[in-house]
Amino acid sequence: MTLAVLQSDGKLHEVPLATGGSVLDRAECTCDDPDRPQLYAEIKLTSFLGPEIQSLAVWVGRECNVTANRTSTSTLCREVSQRDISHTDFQTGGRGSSAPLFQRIPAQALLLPGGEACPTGDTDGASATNSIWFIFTTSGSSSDNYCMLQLPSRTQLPDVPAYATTDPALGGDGAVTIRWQNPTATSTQPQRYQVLCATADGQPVPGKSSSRQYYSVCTSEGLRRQYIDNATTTYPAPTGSVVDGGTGSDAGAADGGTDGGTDGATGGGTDASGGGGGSDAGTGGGSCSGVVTPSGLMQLDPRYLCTNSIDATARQARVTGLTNNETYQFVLVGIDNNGNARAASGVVCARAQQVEDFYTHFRNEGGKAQGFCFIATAAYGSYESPYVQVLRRFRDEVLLPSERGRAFVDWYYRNSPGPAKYIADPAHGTLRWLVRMALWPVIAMAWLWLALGPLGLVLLAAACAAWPMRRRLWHALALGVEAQAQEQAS
Amino acid sequence: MRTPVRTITRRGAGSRSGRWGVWVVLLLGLAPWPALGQRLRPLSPRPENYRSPQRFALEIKFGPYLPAVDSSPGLGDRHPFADVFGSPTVSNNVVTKLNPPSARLLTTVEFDWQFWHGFGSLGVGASVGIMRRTARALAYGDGGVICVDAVNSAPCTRSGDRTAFSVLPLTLELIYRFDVLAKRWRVPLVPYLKGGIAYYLWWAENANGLAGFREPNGAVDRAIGGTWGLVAHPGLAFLLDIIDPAAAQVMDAELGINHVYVFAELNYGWINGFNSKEKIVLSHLTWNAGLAFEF
Repeated sequence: MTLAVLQSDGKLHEVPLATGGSVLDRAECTCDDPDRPQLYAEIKLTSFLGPEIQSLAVWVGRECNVTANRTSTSTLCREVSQRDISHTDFQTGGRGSSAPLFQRIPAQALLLPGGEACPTGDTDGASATNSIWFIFTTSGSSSDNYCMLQLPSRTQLPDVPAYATTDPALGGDGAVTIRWQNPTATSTQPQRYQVLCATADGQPVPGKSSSRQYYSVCTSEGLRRQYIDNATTTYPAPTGSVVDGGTGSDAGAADGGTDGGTDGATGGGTDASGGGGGSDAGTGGGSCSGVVTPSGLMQLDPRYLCTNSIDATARQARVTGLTNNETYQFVLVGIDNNGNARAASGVVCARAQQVEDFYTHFRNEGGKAQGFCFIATAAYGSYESPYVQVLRRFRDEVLLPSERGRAFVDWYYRNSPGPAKYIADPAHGTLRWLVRMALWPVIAMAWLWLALGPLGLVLLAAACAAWPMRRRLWHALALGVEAQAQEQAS
Repeated sequence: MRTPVRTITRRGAGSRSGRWGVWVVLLLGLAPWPALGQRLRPLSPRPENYRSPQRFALEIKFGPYLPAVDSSPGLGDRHPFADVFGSPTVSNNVVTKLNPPSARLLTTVEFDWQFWHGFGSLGVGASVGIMRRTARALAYGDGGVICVDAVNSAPCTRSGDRTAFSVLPLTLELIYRFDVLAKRWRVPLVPYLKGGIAYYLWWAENANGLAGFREPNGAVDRAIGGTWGLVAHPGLAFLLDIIDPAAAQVMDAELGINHVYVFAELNYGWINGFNSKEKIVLSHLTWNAGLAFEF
């Protein structure tokens, strides 16, 4: 059994199920949307020796195998599908009636949302199991055959994540870092996070909407189910609805962030609401003055996603791909293992900006830091020297495949010509000899790395360290074995 | 008589080359020398004051490390290291004062070969250490002024990006241990002196990985390099064997660990590329403490 979503193209798209198998989350239970999930069942009949099947009905509820409960006025069961079937609907997989038989019900609209799928009371926290009954009506038989599937729902929302009390959003170079607090120690801690972001005028950030969505949410435009890859899913452009844009009355203040209150939208359902109205736009963070907060951002519309899944132990996320000197707004979402999501209260804002790391600052202040080099070619006199070839192989096979290795090689080729020229000068024979001696361990390590790989190098080092003690170690081991043998013998 | 184990390993080493050959050599080094099929025999009784031969020492030590980067050539009275890694005093999210940077932990492992035992011991040792420190990168305030503290540009907040500076010190030293007192008169103190050359690898990172500085000609100077220098480590070791001589005897007899010391030493480093005008200065005057095992 799997779940599928009937999308606007009229095709049924299978979607992976949440952890633990077939589990409905809150948005799937409650969202009244044409794209809601449908059951996609595969029934396998391993023997078909009984009376001829005439129809297949699907009921949702409790004890639907009892004929008395399968009425239109029943409060226990509700019929969601019925169709006539015959032997020709089955594909025989082999000879005779003992061969396996299959029946697919691909687009049979087994609509689950409703009281049966997510029983009243369950949406407030507990879990439930929904029973789906397949009733086979047979000719010449007074009793029906049936089978039953169970589809649990987990609709409790995770705790509301809380932004860091100081600096919840900090601008970086083409990026903004969002920081949040440790969750309170409850059983409903988020199991992962995602961050949504928007430009100051409320539009999704270009190039950021391809993040995978790890939660289900019911927006005003319908259900947006977890695990939908937004890189391949095209939703209509978000509407321009706005939720209380910042007043901008505090434009002169650089910090504080007490303005720009963003009213949390209801979220179009019971899922992942913005956490209530009038929330403060991130105290201590960058100001949200003048920022227009779209309702879709507060409804966790996946078009505003700016990160992929963030581990539950993380307390900050760096949103990259932003434009310097532009202000952005962010919403943090806590997500549980079932796809239920809850947003942190309000939005936080920050401006991506040029920064100065330590090395840039050091150089800008006049510092000089010429690097290091191993100038083998100059020292050994020939590019074709076998020792140089070892280093060339090390360069090509170890350094160049990695980004840092390439950076090192780039740097080396920029800086080495001067010293190499000095070493290669015929007048500096002694220096050349010294450099060759100094290069020996480097070449040896490079050769060993190429021959053994990094793990082998570690093992070799361990072997060298163990060598002086080999006899003692062996004797200690032998004594232990001997003592154990004697103990067993006695 | 050649044992089966040796026969197999030698045949493997001889018949293959390249990587497999090296692996066989490696396995040969790890394999116990007595033949596997040989019957185990108890060791002959050892004399009461048995001491196994001792030629090596292994140390692991820790200490604070604050490189004198701001003494690097070209900086004058400027202090970029303190600007970035200094401890800011923050008031209302604004850096109001920048305090000098504090030291960070330097972890070092040293391996010694003691080639002479006479009036004390003489050896050579190689060590490798690691120190890393991070801070939030500086941000540009209004008007494009770099934000260091509120004195230079107000208001001043740090950026959200991290920047890091790492140093990996490599040393090669001559070591003299005056262990005469401990060996002859059971005074559990061993003063020692180490001195030698050092090569300190360093690199700086930003939020995107290895940092770089764009030169006026457009070339990018990657933030990785090394500085030569000299180091000296005068120290004093306390012989732990005296606390439990019986346990020390067992460790020696069964594991070959002759002595265990706890020690503290000064850590002098003149790491300036021998007064190079182009090298980042990583000199220091600090201390280390740790454990040493002689075997």
